[in-house]
Amino acid sequence: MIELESVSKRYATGIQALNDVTLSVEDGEFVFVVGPTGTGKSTLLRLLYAEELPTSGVVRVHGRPVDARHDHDVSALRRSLGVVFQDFKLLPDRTVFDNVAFALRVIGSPPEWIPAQVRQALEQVGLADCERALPRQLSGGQQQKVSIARAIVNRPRIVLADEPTGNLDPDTSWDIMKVLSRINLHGTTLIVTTHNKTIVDVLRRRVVELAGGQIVRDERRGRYASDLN
Amino acid sequence: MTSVGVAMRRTLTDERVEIVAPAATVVVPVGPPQTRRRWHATAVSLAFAAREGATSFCRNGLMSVAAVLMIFVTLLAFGAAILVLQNLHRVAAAAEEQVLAVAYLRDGLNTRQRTNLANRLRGVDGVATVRFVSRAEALRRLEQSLGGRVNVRDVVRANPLPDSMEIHPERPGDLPAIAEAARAVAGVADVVAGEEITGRIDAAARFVRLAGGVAAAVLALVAIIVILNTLRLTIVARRTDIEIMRLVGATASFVRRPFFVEGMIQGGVAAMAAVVSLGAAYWLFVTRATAAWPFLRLVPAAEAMPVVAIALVVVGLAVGALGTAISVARFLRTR
Repeated sequence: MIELESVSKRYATGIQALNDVTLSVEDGEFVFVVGPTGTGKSTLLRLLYAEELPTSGVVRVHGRPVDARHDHDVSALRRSLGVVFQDFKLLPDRTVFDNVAFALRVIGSPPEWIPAQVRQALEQVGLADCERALPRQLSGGQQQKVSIARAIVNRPRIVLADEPTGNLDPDTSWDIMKVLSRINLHGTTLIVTTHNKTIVDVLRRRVVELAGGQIVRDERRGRYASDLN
Repeated sequence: MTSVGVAMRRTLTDERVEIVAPAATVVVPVGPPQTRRRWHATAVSLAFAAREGATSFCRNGLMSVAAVLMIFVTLLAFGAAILVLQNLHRVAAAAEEQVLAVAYLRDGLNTRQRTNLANRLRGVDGVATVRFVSRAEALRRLEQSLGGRVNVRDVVRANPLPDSMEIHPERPGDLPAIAEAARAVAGVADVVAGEEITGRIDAAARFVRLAGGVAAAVLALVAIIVILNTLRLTIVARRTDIEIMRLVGATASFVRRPFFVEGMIQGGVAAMAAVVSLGAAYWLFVTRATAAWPFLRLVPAAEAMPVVAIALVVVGLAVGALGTAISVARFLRTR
């Protein structure tokens, strides 16, 4: 479960990214976070994986307050989350297999455990045949799938995706959403920030709309834009 | 709604049925893997750090070569400074060795009287050693100092030199007082101490040691700063690795370790290369310089290089490891 209680975030530059945001996401939910650029969508996700600290308010993940004061707490939190980025954040000089395995190696997983887990994750995203390829040899959609495989290889209970289809064409975007939906169907909580109106309108999942750093709409089976508009 | 959207909805619906159906269900356990024993986790972590550090060193070929070269050049200068310092130290020590008072003895003293006289001189404050030099030995030294080209006994029939006592002070500055005290000892005819030149040698030796020490310290500081900056650049180039490691839940210490190893490899390789190059160059220099100017009293390579090797390897490894740790720390802070 994810909870934000009266959370505000003001950056050192003076920009107020979030202003008194209260939000609750149940286990297994699929939530789209929408809104114009600069309304705090990415900041919201960054607070969830403790990349940023709130200026005020409390962020809870799995029922526990996110405490970034202790390195081990941050690490433990991130091991229970998977994060997917618009720009994939893959290591260009490592193969697909090594990019995904990297997520397991850096948390000290036993080496004998890694190959099976990596292959299972790659199968889940449909890239079982590409494990020896380098990122530059893959299309944008395939690279995003590698990024998703890396996010789920540690079997996280929550996956956060920040504009996962932002750099992709419509067909590939649907392919990515198919993969993410499948992950959600396995019981993983999914929070996706997006500007893709078509995807949000077709999937009709929970939609949280941000404007000026505040939640202006929260609909159980929403569309990209409010029905009132 | 686009046609692609409709197809997607149908696909997702199909998959939902497929996944929910027991026969097709792929069970993906939720939550992190089973916790293992701590020692095993530590061993895995250290093995990862060593492997990743070594792999990164090879993988980032050009950057590694640039870093090693930069550290190599810096350590070369630092090592050369140590060699210069060692030689200056030797020159200063040699000059200090020359600082002595010579007490010329009256003729006709027997062995017991000479022994008593030596003991009295040893009892003077600030005297380190007293050595008897017979007139025969003094003559031999005179002939040697003339390069063996002149036989004094061909010129004068009897040895004109007196017996003497060479008095070495504990500190060159004590020599005037020692000379004064020695003059009062019975059996001493005269004392030659060269107080003025002794004072100058003492001051020069102190200055050489101080200046050499300061120069080596400044060069060490410059070496550390240059190495830290070089390593910082290599870390900046790898910030994506660090970002990804942190995002997937690696602890700060886990992130640091491979870079720590990589930094030590860079520092170690550069230090080894610097030791070998400097050792070869210094050996060649000493060999040729001594052949050309035999009066030069250079520290032999075999004597000078162990100190240089230890200093360079320690500085290379320590600064390599420390430099990466400091640089990586910048990317590990949560805002």
